[in-house]
Amino acid sequence: MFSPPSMGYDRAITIFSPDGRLYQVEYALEAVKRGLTTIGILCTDGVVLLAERRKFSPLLDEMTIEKIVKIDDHIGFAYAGLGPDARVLIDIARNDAQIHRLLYDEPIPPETLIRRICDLKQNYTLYAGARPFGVAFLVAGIDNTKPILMGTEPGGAYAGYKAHVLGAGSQIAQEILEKELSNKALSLKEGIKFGIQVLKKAVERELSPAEIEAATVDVYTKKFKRLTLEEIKSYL
Amino acid sequence: MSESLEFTGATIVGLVYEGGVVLAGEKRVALGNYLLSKAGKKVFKVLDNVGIASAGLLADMQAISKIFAAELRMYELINKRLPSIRSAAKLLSNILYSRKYFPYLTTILVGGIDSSGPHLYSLDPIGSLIEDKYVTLGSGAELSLSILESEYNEKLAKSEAVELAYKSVKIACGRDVLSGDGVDMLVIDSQGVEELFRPLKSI
Repeated sequence: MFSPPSMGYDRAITIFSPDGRLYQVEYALEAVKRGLTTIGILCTDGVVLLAERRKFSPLLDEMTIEKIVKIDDHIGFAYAGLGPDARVLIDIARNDAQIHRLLYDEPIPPETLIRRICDLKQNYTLYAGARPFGVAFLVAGIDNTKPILMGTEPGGAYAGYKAHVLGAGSQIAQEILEKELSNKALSLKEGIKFGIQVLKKAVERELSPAEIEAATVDVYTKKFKRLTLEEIKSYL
Repeated sequence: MSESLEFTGATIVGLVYEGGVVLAGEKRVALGNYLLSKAGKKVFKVLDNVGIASAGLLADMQAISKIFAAELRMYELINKRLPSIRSAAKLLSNILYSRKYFPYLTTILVGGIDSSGPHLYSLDPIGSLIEDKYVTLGSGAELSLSILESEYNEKLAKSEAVELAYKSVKIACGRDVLSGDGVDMLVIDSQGVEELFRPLKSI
């Protein structure tokens, strides 16, 4: 039989600490905080996702690292945290989106998809023997005709946002976003331009167009679209 | 296969009118030439905006209507909305196909209304899905179809649609011994689902 753990084990495995916390989940959040800055902005006619692309070494082909990915025609994910964890969840999300299409002959509502992914994340907070996923997602999608921006956490919590930021630059970016967007909404074009400026301030260095990854979902085409290098240049 | 579908016999009819859908079915349950019941229900409301009518094995009809209703309620809870009729019909199609090698012995009409208007779908026992403006199924299908074929048009008002559906089922009851004993109807429009019953009046 499993004997009660001695003091200190509640930090090493996913069980409750005496003060009601799951330290492993909190540590997962730390992993997210150390990730590259990722921003999402809900606009009147769509959602924009932006991420910092960093060349960690001169030998690295940084264009092969995708932090913003298409899940289905009408939904995109951006992540911060452990890349491999994100990859696995992205594959599952893509699968779930197709299963929904098979069952109901319609695109999956973004919140339904997020709920499923977060159920999975929550599952990994139940067992001592496995660690939680060290990923937080920003989800941009179109629900019928409505643009949706939602954020997920490693523990499986999710919520809708007007704007949200993950990763290293979140403190700086959060302040700017709260100041500008708490009471007003931008159009998609304005949102892209504003988002790029916020991203630059958050990473505290000048970003060349190649170091910015950006994508949108808009209410007109209802499709996820990655911005090309030329398009990003036009917004700088 | 067709014998087992006519095991309990039935006539069911569905038609789309301007603003809604009418589903109608008679109430006779006949085992061969023994009339087991005059109170059989073959038309079911499964959600606030969806109804089904089915012809075939009575037990399968009842089982599938409960399973379908439960799945639709789950959809509504999880997705926080009513399903489109296309999605509902597709869901039923998947449930039927999952039993391809041990099928539910029923042919089913799914009718309802969503943001894109009223829709009607017909499904065979293993889940083929076809959208239509009017369909008849069961042992009295050909008899009832003749009425719809000559009198249906897409611009029917609600009362006309109800009368036409009733007449269509009634005619079949007159000549198909496995059909009769009254007509149950569902009228589904933007206000919801209305359940009606009409006894058969002699012509």
